[in-house]
Amino acid sequence: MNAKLSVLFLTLALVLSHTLCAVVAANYVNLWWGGQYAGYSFPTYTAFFLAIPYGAGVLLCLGLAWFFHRR
Amino acid sequence: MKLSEKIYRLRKQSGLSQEQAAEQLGVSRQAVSKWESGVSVPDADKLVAISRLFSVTTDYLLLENTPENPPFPETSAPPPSPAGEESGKWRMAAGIALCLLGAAGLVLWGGIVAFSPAAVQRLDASSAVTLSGSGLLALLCTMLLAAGAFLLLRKRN
Repeated sequence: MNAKLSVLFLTLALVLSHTLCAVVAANYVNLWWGGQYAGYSFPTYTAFFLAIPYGAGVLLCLGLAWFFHRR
Repeated sequence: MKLSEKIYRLRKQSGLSQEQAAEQLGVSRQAVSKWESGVSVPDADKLVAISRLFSVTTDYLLLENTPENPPFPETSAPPPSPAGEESGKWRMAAGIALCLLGAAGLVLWGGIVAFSPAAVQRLDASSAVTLSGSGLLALLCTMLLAAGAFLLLRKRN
């Protein structure tokens, strides 16, 4: 049971980290395009703020995977 | 009953494999195997560790004319009640469900942000609070994950 939970949370961490990359990249491109052609005032680096909730989620899932792996 | 038989029976009753018992006692699996087959006898400190692991007294382990069922030492905690086990299972299920819900929400929100920025703009425009509505959604999902982790990591009463 603990091994399965460990794998489950490891998989969740992997999925969330991939989503993090996709979301940050998409938003960065959106902000860059908007800045170039549509008059967006937001600097492109604000796209990285989106990594905060995903980073927290990845860390939580990794922590839980480690916890269940050790039990 | 001999010490070797007692160790074997206690390990079986606890549902532990030789590897798991060895890991918890800080010895090799071969050492546990030798104790159970009577080839060797555990040291004094390992006897204490065995008594703590299986919640029995060292008297029970060492004296041969002891009853079949091991007595629980007075200092040991009573076995968990069925109601406590039931609530623990529910808490674990709730924790896993919250974590899955939070992670699924984050992935869904990520999909919306990446593939439909217009939907995010509509959501933000409809938000009455300073922090954007889509940002609140991400925060809510992260909090769900954190609540699930809290439920899973909380020690059982």
